[in-house]
Amino acid sequence: MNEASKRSADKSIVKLENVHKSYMLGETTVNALSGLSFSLKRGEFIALIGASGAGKSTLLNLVGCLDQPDSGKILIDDVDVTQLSDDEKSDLRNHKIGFIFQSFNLIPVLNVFENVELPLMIRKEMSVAERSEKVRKALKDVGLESFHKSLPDKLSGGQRQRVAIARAIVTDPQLILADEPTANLDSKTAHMIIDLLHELNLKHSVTCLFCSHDEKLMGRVERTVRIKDGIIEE
Amino acid sequence: MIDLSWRIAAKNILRNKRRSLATMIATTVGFAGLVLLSGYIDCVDSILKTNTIYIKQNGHLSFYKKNAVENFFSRPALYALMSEDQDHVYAALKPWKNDIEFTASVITGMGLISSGEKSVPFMATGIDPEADHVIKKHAAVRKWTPELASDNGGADFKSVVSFDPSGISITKSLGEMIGHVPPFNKLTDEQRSVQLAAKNFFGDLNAVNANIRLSHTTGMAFLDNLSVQAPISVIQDLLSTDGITAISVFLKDEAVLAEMLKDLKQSFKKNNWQIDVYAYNDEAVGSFYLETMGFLFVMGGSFTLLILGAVALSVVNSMTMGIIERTKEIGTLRALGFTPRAVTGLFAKEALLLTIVSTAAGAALSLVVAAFVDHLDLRVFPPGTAGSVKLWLRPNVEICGYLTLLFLAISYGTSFLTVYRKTKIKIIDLLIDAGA
Amino acid sequence: MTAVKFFLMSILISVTARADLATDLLNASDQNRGGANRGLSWEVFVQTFEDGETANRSFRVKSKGLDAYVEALAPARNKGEVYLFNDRNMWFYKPSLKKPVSISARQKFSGQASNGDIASTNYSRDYAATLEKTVDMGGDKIYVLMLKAKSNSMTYDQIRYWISSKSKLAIKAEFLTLQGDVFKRANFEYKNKIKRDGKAIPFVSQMIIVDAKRAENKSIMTYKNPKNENAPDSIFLVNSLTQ
Repeated sequence: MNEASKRSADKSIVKLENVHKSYMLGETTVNALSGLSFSLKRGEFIALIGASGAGKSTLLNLVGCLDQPDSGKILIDDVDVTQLSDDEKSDLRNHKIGFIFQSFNLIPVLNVFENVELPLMIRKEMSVAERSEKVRKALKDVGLESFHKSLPDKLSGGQRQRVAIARAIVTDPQLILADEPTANLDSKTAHMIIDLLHELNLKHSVTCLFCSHDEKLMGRVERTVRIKDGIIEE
Repeated sequence: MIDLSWRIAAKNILRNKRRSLATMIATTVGFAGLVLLSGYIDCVDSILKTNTIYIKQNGHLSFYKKNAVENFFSRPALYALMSEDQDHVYAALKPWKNDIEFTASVITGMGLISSGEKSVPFMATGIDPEADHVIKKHAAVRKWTPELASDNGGADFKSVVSFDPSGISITKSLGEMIGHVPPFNKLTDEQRSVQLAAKNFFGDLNAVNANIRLSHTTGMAFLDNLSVQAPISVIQDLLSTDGITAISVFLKDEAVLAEMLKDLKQSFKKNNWQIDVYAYNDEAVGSFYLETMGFLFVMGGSFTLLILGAVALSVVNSMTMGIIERTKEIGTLRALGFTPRAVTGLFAKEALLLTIVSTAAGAALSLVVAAFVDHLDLRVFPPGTAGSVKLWLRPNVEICGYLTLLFLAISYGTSFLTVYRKTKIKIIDLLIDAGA
Repeated sequence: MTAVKFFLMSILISVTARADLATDLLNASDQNRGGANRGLSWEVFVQTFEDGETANRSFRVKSKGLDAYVEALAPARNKGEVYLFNDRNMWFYKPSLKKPVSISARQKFSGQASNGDIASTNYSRDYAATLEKTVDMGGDKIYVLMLKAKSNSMTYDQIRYWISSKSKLAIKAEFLTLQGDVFKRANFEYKNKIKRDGKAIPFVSQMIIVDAKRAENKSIMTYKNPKNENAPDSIFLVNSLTQ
């Protein structure tokens, strides 16, 4: 690692400052995050653990610009995303963040190749050839080159999640957010998925933040952050 | 290679084949219906236009003495185009001579036609035999109103006046009213002989001899009981005048009409010549054409609105069902960086693709129906016209193009409005949707 | 009941009497406008003012019973033209025509004066009369009759007709549309005399017909030289026109 990349690695890619987020559940207000502050360094591979309802998904959604905090700041690459417009946030998600969902969220009518190509579709500056090349590379990274024409429903759960991972990394994001990526997988496949994510984290120097309630996976990560009642307990 | 967004649209159309098929059928039938309706209106327009310009001899442009259109029948002597007026018209037309196919003088008059037994009222048009010859052989007349010009086995006033200067043409219904059953070529010389009586330009009753030689139809139901056509000299003799009612000008190409009309009006004004000039579609001379087409356009417009409404509803229904089923997908696309507009664009492309396929199918269907109708040789009675003419349903490429654009606009607009609202929902709410 | 019967009877008698009176008046007035059974002849000059234009025409009329033979005398271009009235039928003929033309009584070819106005008047034949009212005019009691056309081929649908009780002469007339609107008015003068049964009786000398809406549009018909003339029956035959 040269000096520049070291400096870059030392710098936080995500920084949350005193973030509050509450929801209305019927007539009751539920405080999901209560003044949470937290930062993620570039290239980190972090697991966010906590009980159900602790605020893991809320935190991930806020970091992923899928939701807006009640108060506080969320800085991604030094940009306060709470101040961005909807279109700017869309652009940021497309260029800097890769998402992996618990239930894969693949488009059933599109084959593997097309599903992975999807986030590149809105990049007007990219040619079709460039897009194809990137998709092939991403599929190679997840070991699914030979399945590029398959439809999602012809694949196993692990394969589908690998497609989702390929879709997350195809845009060369700086941050991958994975919300319970192994929840729908058996433990062997879950371990394989986490190992794959870690491998990609190392290979592409991409920061990975995933949440899980599976304590057995904790041994495979560099840093574990525990969240309880909307507050970080590291 | 087809763009991914179009491939996605195509695949999503095939996702729910039954729903897409229902939308497609509605659009296809609606489109075909409108193409055929517009084909019918286009056909009626061509028939009425040909009738107004050629059969009624209004020409593309007609020249009258100032205010004669309103006053000629009550005070013909004052409102006739006398030779000096006619010279003015031809002088003004000189710069346009290359655009003029031919001209005709016309005189009109009302009176009584008598077979000796009884008299019935007529409205006579005194026409130029040379012009009549050209009109009967004219391509537009042969194409659109052959029935209105094909009586008499190809004979026209030019051939009639060569052996009988007093030969006239009457409608079959007028013939029946004076006791002569068509065909008129079976009449004896005695039966053929009729008298036309009218109040002449001096205000006196006058009458002339005439012989029924030809029959015609005006194409207008309300005129067919009254119409007499005669060589212009017969009507001039009857009305005791050298004057005429109007000069009709027939153009080679209608495209110059507006410019020519403007120039002629200026010319008459500049020279202080008391002449009015009208285009064939001016309310003053072509009110029947205008009103009939106005009615048809209103009717066609109403059908278009109804069909577009049905298509819009069908697209809205299809899109609404689609987005209910695919809410989570919308959330995923938003998470991947698609803006609301980009997501809406994907759905709109589905609607557009479905509409493109449907309109193509609709155009094909309309061609098949049109060919079938042509084969059946159906007769229609265009509004207000006398007798029937062959029903031509000719899908017009230009109208097809405009209708396709209209359908695309409607489907794009309705799909955009339906989906865009959904894309503005919070992404996490979209993502947690369980779907339909 | 008897009283009611008597009342109804008296109304009926009164109405019948008024109708009879009206018919008698109409018969009498026709005699002075040429509508006599015996043969008469006269000349009529028609001066027409219409929309600022003036036209002069003159005709010789021979009438006998229900027929009239009207020959155009002037202008020169019309000389030789004949209008023949056979009962209610009218024919127009001029020497150049192969056949005479049958013309409806309603056809108006001469300004304000209808063709029917030029020939003899037979209102009692063509119209059913009822007495509308009586008015006083310069000390003379005037009967105002309402004449309704017996058939729809008559020149006019309705005529309001003023007849002097003293002279039995028609003084003025209003010509009405079917809806009862006045569209022409006429005034009559009787300065001519004609002999009948050895006595000189008045004969129409002028009839002025004015458009009810545009008073400047009018026809002045001046009657001259009325005399008893028993024209041969043959001149009233339509077939004789072409011979």
